[in-house]
Amino acid sequence: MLRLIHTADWQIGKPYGTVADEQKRFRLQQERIAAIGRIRDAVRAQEAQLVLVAGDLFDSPTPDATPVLEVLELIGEMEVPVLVIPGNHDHGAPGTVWHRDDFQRHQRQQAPNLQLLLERQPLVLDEAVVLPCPLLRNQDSSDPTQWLRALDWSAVPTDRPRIVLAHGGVHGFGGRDYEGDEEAQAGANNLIDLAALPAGQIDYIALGDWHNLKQVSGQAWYPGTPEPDRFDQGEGNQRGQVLLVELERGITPEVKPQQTGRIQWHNLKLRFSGDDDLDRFERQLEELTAGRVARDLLRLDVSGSLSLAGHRRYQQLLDDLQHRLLRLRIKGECQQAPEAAELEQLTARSEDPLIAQVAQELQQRLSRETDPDSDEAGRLRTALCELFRFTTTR
Amino acid sequence: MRLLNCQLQNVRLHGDLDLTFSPRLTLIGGPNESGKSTLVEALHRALFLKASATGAPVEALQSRLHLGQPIVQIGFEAKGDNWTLRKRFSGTTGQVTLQAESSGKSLTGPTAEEVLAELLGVGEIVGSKQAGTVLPSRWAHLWVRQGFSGDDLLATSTSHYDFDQLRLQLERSGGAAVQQSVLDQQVEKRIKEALDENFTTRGTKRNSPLYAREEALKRAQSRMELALARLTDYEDASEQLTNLCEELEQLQAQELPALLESQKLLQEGAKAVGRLDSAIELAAKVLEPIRLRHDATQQTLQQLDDLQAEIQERQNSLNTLEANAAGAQGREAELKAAELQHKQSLATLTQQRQCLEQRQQLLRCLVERNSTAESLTRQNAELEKVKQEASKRQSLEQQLSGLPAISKPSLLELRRLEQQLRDALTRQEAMAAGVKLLKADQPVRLDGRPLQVGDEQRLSAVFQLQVGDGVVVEIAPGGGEALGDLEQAVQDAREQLEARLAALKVVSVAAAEDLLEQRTGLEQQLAALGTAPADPGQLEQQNAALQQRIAELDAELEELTKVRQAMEQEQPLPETLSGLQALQQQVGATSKHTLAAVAAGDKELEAARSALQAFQTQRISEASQIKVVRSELADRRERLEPLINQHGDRDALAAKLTGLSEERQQAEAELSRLNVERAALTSQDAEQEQQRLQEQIDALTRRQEELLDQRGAAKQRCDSISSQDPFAAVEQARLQLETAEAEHQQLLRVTDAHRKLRDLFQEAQADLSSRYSEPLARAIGDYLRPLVPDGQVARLSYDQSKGFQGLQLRRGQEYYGFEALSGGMREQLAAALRLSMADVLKEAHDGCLPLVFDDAFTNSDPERVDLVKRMLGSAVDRGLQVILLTCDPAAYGSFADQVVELGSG
Repeated sequence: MLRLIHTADWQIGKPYGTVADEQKRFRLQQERIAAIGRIRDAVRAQEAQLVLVAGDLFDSPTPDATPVLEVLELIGEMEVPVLVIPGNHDHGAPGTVWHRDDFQRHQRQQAPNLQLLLERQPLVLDEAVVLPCPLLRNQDSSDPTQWLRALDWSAVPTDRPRIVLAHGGVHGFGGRDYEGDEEAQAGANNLIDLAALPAGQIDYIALGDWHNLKQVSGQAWYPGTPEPDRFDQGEGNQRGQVLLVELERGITPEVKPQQTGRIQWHNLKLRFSGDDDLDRFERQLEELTAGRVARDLLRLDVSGSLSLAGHRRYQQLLDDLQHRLLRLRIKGECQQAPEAAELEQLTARSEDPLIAQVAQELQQRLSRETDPDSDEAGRLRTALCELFRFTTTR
Repeated sequence: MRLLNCQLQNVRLHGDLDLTFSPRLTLIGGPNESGKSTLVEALHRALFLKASATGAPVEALQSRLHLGQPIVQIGFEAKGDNWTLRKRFSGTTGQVTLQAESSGKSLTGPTAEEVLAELLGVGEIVGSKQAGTVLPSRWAHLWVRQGFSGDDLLATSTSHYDFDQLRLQLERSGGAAVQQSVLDQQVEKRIKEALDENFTTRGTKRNSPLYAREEALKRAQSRMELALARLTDYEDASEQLTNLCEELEQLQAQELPALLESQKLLQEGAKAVGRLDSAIELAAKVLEPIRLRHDATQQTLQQLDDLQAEIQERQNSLNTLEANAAGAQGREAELKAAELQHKQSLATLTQQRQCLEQRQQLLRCLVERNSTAESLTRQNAELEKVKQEASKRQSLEQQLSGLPAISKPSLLELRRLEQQLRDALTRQEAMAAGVKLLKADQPVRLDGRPLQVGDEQRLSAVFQLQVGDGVVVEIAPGGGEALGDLEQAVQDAREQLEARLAALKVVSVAAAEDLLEQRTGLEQQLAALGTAPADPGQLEQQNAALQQRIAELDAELEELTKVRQAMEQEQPLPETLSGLQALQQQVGATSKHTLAAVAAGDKELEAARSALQAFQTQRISEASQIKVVRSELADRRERLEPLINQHGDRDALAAKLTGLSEERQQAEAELSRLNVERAALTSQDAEQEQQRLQEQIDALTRRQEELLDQRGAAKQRCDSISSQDPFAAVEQARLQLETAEAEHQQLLRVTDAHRKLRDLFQEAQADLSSRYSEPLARAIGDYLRPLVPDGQVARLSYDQSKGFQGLQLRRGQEYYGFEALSGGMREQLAAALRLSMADVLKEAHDGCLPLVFDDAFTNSDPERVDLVKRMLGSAVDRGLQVILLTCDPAAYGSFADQVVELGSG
């Protein structure tokens, strides 16, 4: 029986360009490399005989030299064969990392166990037959497994499990359909047609590209990324693991996830309709990050508005979060608007008739606005805030 | 405040004036210079100028008519009391007393002035210093001085219409109407400042926060574009690199090896070629004799076939020629006959032509003879006539010469002479005495001769009448001695006449006249015969010529007798000239036709002749041709015979050829097979092929080097771009752009909010001001209502610091400014404004204020005076006191509550 670790989408060198703070950016990048160490630990702990990396080991076809060296060192420490195919992010075209002199030299020295599969032909190992489907070009829309349909299976050894190693979305499941994540890079549009593969001839299909754990069929799995790199994609998304796979020819594989992730990415959606909501917000933050520092990222989807005082407190909270989190991404806006008592400070100024009248007019117009999130409503609220500021401060 | 009465002493023309005012409307009438304006001025100064004032305003009150200082005393109601104010204007020594009726207490000096000011609701009573500036503004809204009724009150400063009090009263009556506060103004200013921070009148201010964010946004956008461009660059470079690698791969793995393989094969092929070449040589040797035999046989067969074909051909042509020769004699005879026929017909035609020509000649002679004969006849007649005329002329000329040569002038002379005689006789007769014997008893004798009874005698000479014998009377007719002259004249005349008659050989004048007539008749006859008698000699000559021509023609006709006879046989010849001429024409036409027929016949004959000639020539040539063909035929037959003897007949020869042909085909197939094999091994020129291959290999090698270079460059480009991580750059640029957009958006919203605040403040201010201006405008409208039937009548604006402004009146659909109105309308509108103001202000003055109109409606039409009256009446009904001064009190009729007449003394 063959025990192997199936992983993909390490995305080493991911720039995290959307994180403004350089130190935090570096920390996020480092954590991806650290995740390889945790994979190495899993290999050792599980006594895996083989590691399959199903594409997108690097985030771009042109990663920096330093992380490349670090990756090679860690792979070298795995000591078992590590089979790698390029994915859409790090495709195998000439001029990419795979063909770089430094990579090739260091790979020979530091990670002789790494085997880069750039050719679509069966690789017969002692333990298994690997059928690699690398992506070799930047804009390649063909199905990388197409070559398998014409394969002469009778020439393939029958005494060991057969593994397809491929990267891309599959028909019926758009792997890269990262709906709601506007930061996701547009990927290649190659789709794998699993149904076109002769099921009886294959024991396991090791897929890459989808960053969450996903079993596509009895034999086909996406392991997800070993270290999360995006905000949640919705309910039941499982990130931060590799798959331990037990294989035998002709037998349905045993698949067990192994945790490797460390950093947490949170989504929070809030609508403020009064200062009470601020307390709720604070409680939710507490639950999510529970005293952890610099290990969380949060995407905050906000709307609605707070009183002027409430908004000041809200800003304070955000400032604190900016320090405590690796990243705070705010989508939408929590606007401020004078609440009843504050408003009264303006509208009830009988000694200042103009201010009172303008404030009343603004308030009336705001109440007539059917969509509280419209631009006009925003302008009206801002006008009220500014009037408040001009009136109450010197 | 209400005026009750007044007393003026020593004020200009008023020595002592005492007036009582109605609490409602007082009309003060009086002509110009009756002191109306002085009254108003005096009242105004008493109320608002300090008694101790000096200078022009005081001096103006002083009287030149009345001794003593000007003293003005006014009784009025104010603050719930009746007051008596008395001022004596005597410069610095002027005196004031103010007495309240309720307390009876009398105030004097500054205290009195202070209380007065309070009662009147003004800041202070004006002293000399301010008299020029402030005094005219006091109650300027209530009191209209003469000549100022059409002025725009609102164009003056607010002090002219007690603005503060007016505002206060308006606020009171309007309830919630309040002023904008200091804070209001501060906030408004801060909004303006906030806007000014970011904007100028032309747009965003340079180096303002908004400007900075706009610039940041632009920078972020361009950075994003740059990052995307670099990424595209990288992707292009990467794509190019991939293509280069693929091409290189293709070149190295496929194209170059293929060429090298071909080169190798070429070298191996050279040996096989040698072997094949010798086999080809051998096969060629085998083929050669077969080919020769085959060719010879084929040639012989061809020769045989050619000869037979020639024989056949000649035989055919001989047959044709002989057939032609056989038919030739008949054909020639035909042609000859045709020629003859043509000849004959031509001869006939020629004969016809000759005959016709003769006839034509005959006819021509006949015609000429006829016409010549006619001419001769005419000529003879002419000659005869000429001869007769000549003899007649001769006889006439003889008669004429026989007569006396009397002419018309000589006849006239004869007549004159005769007349002369008659005249002389008449005169003689007139002088004669008439004697008639009427009765006689004795013989009577006249100059010797008896005179019978009844005898009458006329006597022109002295005569003697004798009666009986005893009486002899000599009687002398009249004229006396002239009688003798007359007698002589008669004698002379008679002689002249007779002499002339004798000269002309006539007996009397009458005879002369007859003779002249006779002569004239003869001369006319001569003239009728013509002047130049024809020369008969010439005519005779011509006759001779004509006779000669006729003789010639007759001779000619003699020669043509035969022809004539022939013609006459056919038809009798016409006698007349015209008949002959017609026949001549007819024969001429026939002759013309015949001539054409002769020419045609001539041509046909020529054609027949040449056809015959051609035929004869051809016949001769064919005859010789037959000889040639016969000899050729013999020759070919001679040549054919030995051929057949030598090679056998045609069939045998053909069979032999077939055999040889097969043999040859086999040998040739073998050779071509070998050649094909040879060609397959190599192109014809192995060396050239070798060279071509080498060139291709070299070219590919060069291309390979080129590609390697290009790949190196592309890789370097990839590496150089990728070392800056274009993917990361795009992400970062996107983040910056997002941030910049958000910040820009945020500030934009704040500035939008500021604009909104500014607009709302302006609206609120406008709203506020309308609370002040509205009641006034409405009140003006009420006063002027009949002028503007429905809707708003007037409008004006309000400004906290500048007061009321921009009074406008609606006429039709448009509003017009004060200045744009007519003089009369201005007066009425100004009055309405004053009344409206007084309405508002009266609340601070116990519900009444006095309005003074000094000649204030001089520009108003009589019809408009009704409006003025209604307006003033309505004001009075509302509690106001009106004092109307006018020089035309009649215009207002019995409208006033009290009427005062000034100026009567």
